[in-house]
Amino acid sequence: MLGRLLKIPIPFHDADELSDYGMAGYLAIQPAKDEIGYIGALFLINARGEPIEFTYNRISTPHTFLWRQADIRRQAVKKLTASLLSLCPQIPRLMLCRAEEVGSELFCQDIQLSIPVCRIAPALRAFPCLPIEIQERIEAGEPLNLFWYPGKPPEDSSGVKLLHELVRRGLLTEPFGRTLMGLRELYPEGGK
Amino acid sequence: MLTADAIWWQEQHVHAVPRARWLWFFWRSVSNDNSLSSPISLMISHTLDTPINLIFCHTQSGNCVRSNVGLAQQTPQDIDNNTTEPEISLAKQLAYLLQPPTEVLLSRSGPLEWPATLFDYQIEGINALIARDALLLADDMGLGKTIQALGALRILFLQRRIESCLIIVPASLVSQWRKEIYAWAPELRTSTIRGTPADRTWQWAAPVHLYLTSYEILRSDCTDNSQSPPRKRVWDVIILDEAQKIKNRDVEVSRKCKLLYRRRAWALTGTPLENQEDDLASILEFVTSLQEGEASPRFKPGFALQEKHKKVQLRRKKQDVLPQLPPKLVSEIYLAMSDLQRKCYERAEQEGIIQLKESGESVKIEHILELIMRLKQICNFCPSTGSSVKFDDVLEKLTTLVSEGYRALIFSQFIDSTYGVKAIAEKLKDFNPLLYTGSLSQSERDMVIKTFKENRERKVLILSLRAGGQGLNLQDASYVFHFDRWWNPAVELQAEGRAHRLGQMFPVNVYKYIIENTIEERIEKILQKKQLLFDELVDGVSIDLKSVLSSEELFGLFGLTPPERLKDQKSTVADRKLV
Repeated sequence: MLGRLLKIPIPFHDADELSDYGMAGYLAIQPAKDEIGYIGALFLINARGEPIEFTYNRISTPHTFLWRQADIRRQAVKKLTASLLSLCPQIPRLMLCRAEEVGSELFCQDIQLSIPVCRIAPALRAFPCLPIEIQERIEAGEPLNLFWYPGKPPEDSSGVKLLHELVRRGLLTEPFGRTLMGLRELYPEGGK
Repeated sequence: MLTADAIWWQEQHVHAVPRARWLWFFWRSVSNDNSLSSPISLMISHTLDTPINLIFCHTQSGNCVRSNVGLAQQTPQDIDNNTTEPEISLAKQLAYLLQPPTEVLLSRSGPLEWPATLFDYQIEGINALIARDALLLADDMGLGKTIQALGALRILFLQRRIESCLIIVPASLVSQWRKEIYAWAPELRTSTIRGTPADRTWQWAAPVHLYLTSYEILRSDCTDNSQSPPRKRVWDVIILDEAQKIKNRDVEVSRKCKLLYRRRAWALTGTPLENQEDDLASILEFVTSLQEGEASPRFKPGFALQEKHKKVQLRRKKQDVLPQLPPKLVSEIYLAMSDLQRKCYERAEQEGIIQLKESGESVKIEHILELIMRLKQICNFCPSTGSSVKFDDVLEKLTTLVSEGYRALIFSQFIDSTYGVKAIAEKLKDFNPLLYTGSLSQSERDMVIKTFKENRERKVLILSLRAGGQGLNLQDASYVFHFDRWWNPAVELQAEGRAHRLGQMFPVNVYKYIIENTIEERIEKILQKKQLLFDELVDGVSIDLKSVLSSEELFGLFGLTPPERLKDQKSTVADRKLV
């Protein structure tokens, strides 16, 4: 009787993986068009800018005069971000967000990540930051301020290497545009 | 390295935050309010290992459902019932939107690896191919039409906008296209359709991105049966290289190319209009999408053709886009025959003219052509002694240029060992030349080209004009000899374009031989007129036309007039295949 052939996987290394810098996560939060909520997405790309994951959600905020707008926004953004993080099946090496969309308190106080967070802002505009954030200035097509939490990783760390690779390829801020395009496609009435 | 189970994020407990009292109230009200919808994650596979990737949506509970358009507006029940049938799934729409933009993709430092930096005009060409369903890319030879087509394909595949492509090329260029695909689009899987019918059956069925075949194979495999392999699917893209192959709408391959269903049609050619407006019309009949149930359009010379031409053609000239390309220096060399060669020539001409006269009304165009051919052969080599003033001049020049380290191509329309490339090769044996003709198998041809490129000691490559005149990259040579002239200046330009193209480091010297007071000199005058025609029609996109040689012109070469029945007939001389 002939034995069954066993399927034995052939071990291999994908050359890409050997030089893989990991993924960068781009978090985008936008007010909904009707101003009664927010839409958000977490877009993971690899160092070449290729899309890996796209997680999106929206939250409606209550109509109430009892709460300050800033508090409503803070809680909504926190809930929205938590929902996105809860479903994202892969862990990026780096979390990037725009300072004009995401305040310092989100990752400095409300949500704790085990990966570095970098808020990006145009250098010519002033954005508030907490003292625990480390500020850095870079040139990536335009002068930018980076706000690191919890501190800028070492230069030889994978997160910083990934950042430099994205800058070299002109992909530091470009993915935010794609994230917004994806959100507009999903929520044509939802985003500004 | 964090594992998938590791907690890499956590929400800070609200009690830890100062002023928790009122925040707690707020948090509770938010959590009780069903204002937070289920987050949806799309996993996008970025590999191109398979032509089609399915994209799934994961609900918060972890269930996996197929994505649908308008997911945010649909209830889970709708998804389970699959009550809606969108044309393009949400996942596919997003897969397209979330890809890096074209300019980033085309950048050398972008996510795609390119073997060389693309020129601006090439990026413009790629963008034009991506943007349009139908394009006639008519750039000058050597500007990288193949690269532009492959660049556009690569991006369209990456953006999930296409899933299948059929590339039809001359048989002699199949290997070259394979190399270019490997260099410029290595992630795209290719099935080369050639070999026995049994081989070709599974090659057509292979699940790949690109199907590469020749006009000859397509003619065989594309039958009247709509289920024949090339016809049974709707191709996202069909590319015809050297599209002048379908200039004659009455030949089978032209008809069959136009039968194929296609969403996008791209035609690549450096010489879209060789002889007459019907050539252009035939090519433009292909350059249009064709869905199932539709009939292929038919164009006639006129305003509609002109309008269509303007809309679909993209043509750039070398001098406009590549000013840095080394110049091409063309020299016409008028030679006088030796006495003995002259005697043989005149005897043959007189005998031929007598025969034509004696034929009277039964004379045919073919008789004229036979005589012209015979006389051209004698212009190459004396039939009595084998001597040749052309060869003497070639030898003298070769001796000099080889000693200076340059390399040369010699073209002839004849192959035989008395008047053609074999005769030239035999007489140049001291130079150890390589010979490239249509009689070689494809593997032999590839070996000849490979040897010429890799072995710099082989200084001379002798090619038959038909086999070697198009598609090959032979920038290693910087001297081109036209041993004899062909009717069609476009064909000669194609041949010169093998050397004068991207990658050429030196000025290219072209020598065209004409024997004085012979049929060659008379033909040369006609060729000059035809070159003007080409410039006016293709570059100006005008419809002010003349076309082929008329019977009067042909008979007029020998001071004769055609019989009545042949007058006003347009000749198919220029359509005749090269030997």
